Amino acid sequence: MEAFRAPRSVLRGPHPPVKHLHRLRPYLSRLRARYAVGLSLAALATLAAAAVPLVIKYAVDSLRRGPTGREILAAAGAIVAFAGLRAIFTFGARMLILTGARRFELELRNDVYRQLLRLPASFYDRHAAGDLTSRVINDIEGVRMMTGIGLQQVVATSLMLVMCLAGMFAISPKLALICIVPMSLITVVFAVAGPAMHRRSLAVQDQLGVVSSRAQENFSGQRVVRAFVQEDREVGRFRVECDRYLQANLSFARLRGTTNGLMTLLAELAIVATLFVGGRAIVGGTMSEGDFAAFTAYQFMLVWPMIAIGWTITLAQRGLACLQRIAELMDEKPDAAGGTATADFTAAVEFRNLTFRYDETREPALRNVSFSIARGATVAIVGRTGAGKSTLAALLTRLYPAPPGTVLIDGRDVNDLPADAQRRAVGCVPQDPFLFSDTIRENIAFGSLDGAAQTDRAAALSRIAGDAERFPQKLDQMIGERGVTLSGGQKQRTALARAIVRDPAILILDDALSSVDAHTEREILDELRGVMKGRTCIVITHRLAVARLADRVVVLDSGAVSETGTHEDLVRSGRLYAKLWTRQQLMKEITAEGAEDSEKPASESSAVHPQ
Amino acid sequence: MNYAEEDALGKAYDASLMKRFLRYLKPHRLLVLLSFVLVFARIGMDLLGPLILQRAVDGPVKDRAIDALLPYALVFLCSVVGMSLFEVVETWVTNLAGQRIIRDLRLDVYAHLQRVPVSFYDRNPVGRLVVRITNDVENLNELFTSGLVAFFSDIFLIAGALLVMFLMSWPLTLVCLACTPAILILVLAFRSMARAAYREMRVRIARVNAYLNESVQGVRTIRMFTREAACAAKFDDLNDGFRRAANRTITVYSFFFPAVELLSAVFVAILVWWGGRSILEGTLSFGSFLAFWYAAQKFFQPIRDLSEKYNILQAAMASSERLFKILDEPRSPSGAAVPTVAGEIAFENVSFSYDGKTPVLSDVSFRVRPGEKLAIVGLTGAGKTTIVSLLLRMYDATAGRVLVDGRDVRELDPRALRRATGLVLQDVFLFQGSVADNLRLGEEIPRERLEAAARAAHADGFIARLPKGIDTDVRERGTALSTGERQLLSIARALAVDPRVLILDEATSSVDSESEALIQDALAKLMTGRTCIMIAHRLSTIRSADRIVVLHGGRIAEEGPHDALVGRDGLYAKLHRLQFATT
Repeated sequence: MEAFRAPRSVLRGPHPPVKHLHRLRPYLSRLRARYAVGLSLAALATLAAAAVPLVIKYAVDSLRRGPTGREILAAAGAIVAFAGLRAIFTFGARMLILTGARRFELELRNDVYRQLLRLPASFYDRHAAGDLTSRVINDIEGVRMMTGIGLQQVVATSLMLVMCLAGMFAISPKLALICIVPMSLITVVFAVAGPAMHRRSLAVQDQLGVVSSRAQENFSGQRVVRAFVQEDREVGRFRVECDRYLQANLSFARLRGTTNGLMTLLAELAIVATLFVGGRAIVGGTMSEGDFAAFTAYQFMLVWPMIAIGWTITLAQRGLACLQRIAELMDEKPDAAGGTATADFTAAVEFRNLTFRYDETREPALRNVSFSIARGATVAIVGRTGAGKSTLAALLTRLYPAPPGTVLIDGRDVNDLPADAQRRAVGCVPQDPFLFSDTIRENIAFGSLDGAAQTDRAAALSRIAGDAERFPQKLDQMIGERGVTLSGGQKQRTALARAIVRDPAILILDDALSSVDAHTEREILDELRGVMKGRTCIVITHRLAVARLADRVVVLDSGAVSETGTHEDLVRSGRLYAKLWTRQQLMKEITAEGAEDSEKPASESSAVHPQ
Repeated sequence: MNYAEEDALGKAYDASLMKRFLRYLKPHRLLVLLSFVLVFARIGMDLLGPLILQRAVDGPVKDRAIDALLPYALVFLCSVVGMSLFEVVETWVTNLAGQRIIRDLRLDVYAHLQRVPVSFYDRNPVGRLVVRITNDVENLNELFTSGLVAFFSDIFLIAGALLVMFLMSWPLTLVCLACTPAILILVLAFRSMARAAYREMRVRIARVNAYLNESVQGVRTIRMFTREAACAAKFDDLNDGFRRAANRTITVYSFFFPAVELLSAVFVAILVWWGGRSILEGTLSFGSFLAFWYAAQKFFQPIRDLSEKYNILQAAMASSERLFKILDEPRSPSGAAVPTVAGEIAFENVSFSYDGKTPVLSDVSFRVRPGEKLAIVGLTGAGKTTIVSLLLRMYDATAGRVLVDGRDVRELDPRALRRATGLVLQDVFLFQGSVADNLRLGEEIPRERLEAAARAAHADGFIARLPKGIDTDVRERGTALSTGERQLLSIARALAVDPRVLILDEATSSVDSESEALIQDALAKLMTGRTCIMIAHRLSTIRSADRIVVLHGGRIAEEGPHDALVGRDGLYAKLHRLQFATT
């Protein structure tokens, strides 16, 4: 709650629109009863508090009449009784409203999360992950503050304001008027200084961001800094930013100090005025001491609502700004669910005159690509980085929509097929697989369509089981964020297991074993052939020794198919594939010739990117 | 961010840490002193109020003397205005002192990080260091403003309020003090409950955050494997765990605030009852009663805030421990001798490993005579860049010696050594500042020489096209320099400094053929008459070398001039064919 920081960019703009408020209705209507009771309790608590000055008036006035000890005791008892009532009502109100707001937050957050999972891959190309998580966490928190503590404060403070003013005017209209002037000035000060303070605190945050990114840059570039002997100059540059930060902080502190001082002064001035005018009235006999005491009590109680008005307005503004950002997210168009046609996914794949761009402004990633893969065949796709190989995989898994009639499975346009059904039929292993911070077993079962079945077999097949034997928890070993505790090859083999466990009709290996040594890769692929009998396999690879195993090789160059045929055909043709093949043979010789057999596979990239 | 570590809180007070922190107060002792004086003055003014009130009520009001009331009102007014004024100035001064103190500390840590061994950065992720320099330093600001100053302010206030209370009525003061343990117990119990609940909440929201982040980053995988429903269910679970933890916090807070209010009401009731009786009995004046009431409010206020201050102090102590740990890192070792740099370089049986296990260089020996040009070639990971790191003394060799002009680099001042060496790196790094600043890099070089260097490096053409020429800020929007231009700038930089030894880590990224020709020509000029060590990728660069060292797996596989190596048909010949023959 303290950690809450509103999204800055939005707060800078004009007042956020209220039009999005209707989105809260379904959530809040479920909490209607709870809120009604909670807000009533908040009101009752305020009434109990407002009754106390009356008790004081009674006690003080009776003091002058020469009371008995019993009357004083009654007054003391009444104070405790009202305070007790107030405590119980406040407790109830807070519990009901604040936990209600948490329930609201939960439901809204779950819905936004579901929406995130529905949004198309292209949406994620346009939005930074940090911004999205900030919306789901911080913005929803902002809305929760508005509907929880904000709402409670509106009810409690406005009622308190009315009660206090009524009490003061009832006792002495003249004195009330005198006090109202400095008191209302508190609200004015807050209203004037509030936005300026907010701006300055944003400036502080911004400059802290600059300081932070300067440090980040320096730490990341330490080697260069040392090499060019820039240490002292870097400290000098950092000092400039630190000084700016100091100035921003001081400018904020000065305004805050002045505002607080002014508010204290105004509140105290009102008290001085009351004491002086009221004192004279008592001496002059126009006001009883009891009235005076009650008046002062109301006046003390009035200070908080005066400040809270400004605070509540800020809460509401923030909440609305946050709501707008959430509304933007909810208004994004979800990914198309696809058509309703049925296919049995016996898995003949065809690309027909496929030209594809990631977005309109960019060069096409694929140009007029046509080739087909018969059911049960294995096709290797090779080409330089950026040739469009992975785009084919993205289209087959429907991460991006294919232009109509260009990608076909079993002769049907994929756009006519339900997206989920198609994805269930495809198993894909990307080069840099995304693993979840969970156990190896859970990561493999992630691919499974029927729970956890077959994970052991898949783990054995992909050769991850053998590695896992060496882990203390075997397959139940936690692998850390994105699988950091695994080597590159282990990650890839876990991802392979995840794909084969779903027993897919089409298996896509997108440079999937690049970090596994060539020998093991060959073994894995040999074994996979048995498993994948009758299935279609697309192997995207840089290793031509792997491509050689395929029934057919498709060479992509700058998004277009430049050669197709069997490995032997292509080597004979003497074109790009043949050149790459010669280079890789040479590379193999060089690596073998080295003094020691290095663990690391020799750089694949230099082999396929001719200088 | 590692949550467990960032959140681990130890004790709230550690004398040795505090002592170290106090050293940072020393340069600003006048401001610090002024802060305390102002705090003292503010509290004095604040407590003047009840004293005047007592006199006014027991004097003119009681005697029904309207005209005598005015002086009291004026003094009261003055005390109120004075208090507000002191409050304002106090905020200014305290913040000025606090901000200066933490700026000094931040700069100290930053400067120290420029001097620790480079290997420190291999062990400590950059993100964590940034957190140190931002959040942890901020926490120490709290240690000053909310810790030290507020601590003294509270002590003054409690002592002063007690004094006033005693003056008004000592029996009532005793009653008051008797109530204090109840409030203290409530506050302390609340603190431990709130802290446990709050931490649980933070851990839960961190989990929600982590899962959310993972989902967003891995959304393609989730989609590909049609796991949306399962992930949503898991998210709901985590989210509900967070809600429960949050509700526990709500319960604690919802209980605490009303409980405190109830307790104060009980206290007020006792005051009314006891005070009322004393007034009736004539042992207490009405004015004293009012003044007592007023002072008692001030007395309880710091006690109520106690728990908040404790948490701040605790966080600040943990932060200061982490910061001082950085400051305790030893600086990188340094020799004192300034190299003459005639330009002779030798590696004698040098072996090196970054982690002490995997060897990166094994028994590497070679010698470069002054003015000679040596090219180092090899596959990625052969150890080429490590040779440059050792020569510039970013790391020390595990075994063997690196010699410059016959002296072990360990005897030399590394900064003087680096200054004497020209470096043209593959990824050109531009520092903040103008183009001229980037050519000069802190050295005293006259402007004419900079311009001459830029001309010689063919960088004058594009520099002239920049909005402010050579004075254009390289980080300004719209000054995006192309790869080729950055490389030319890097060559001009070396030309301007005019070093005896030149290290060239050649870029693998390709530039258009026109830029390429300019770069080649500039490089040729730069290399003339200097000792050069080149990590070479371009054929022309390799050909221009007098000698070539072929690294393979951290060892020297072959050595000799280009033609001889090609003739030998060994590793170099194959590498050569791999790079250039088959495109």
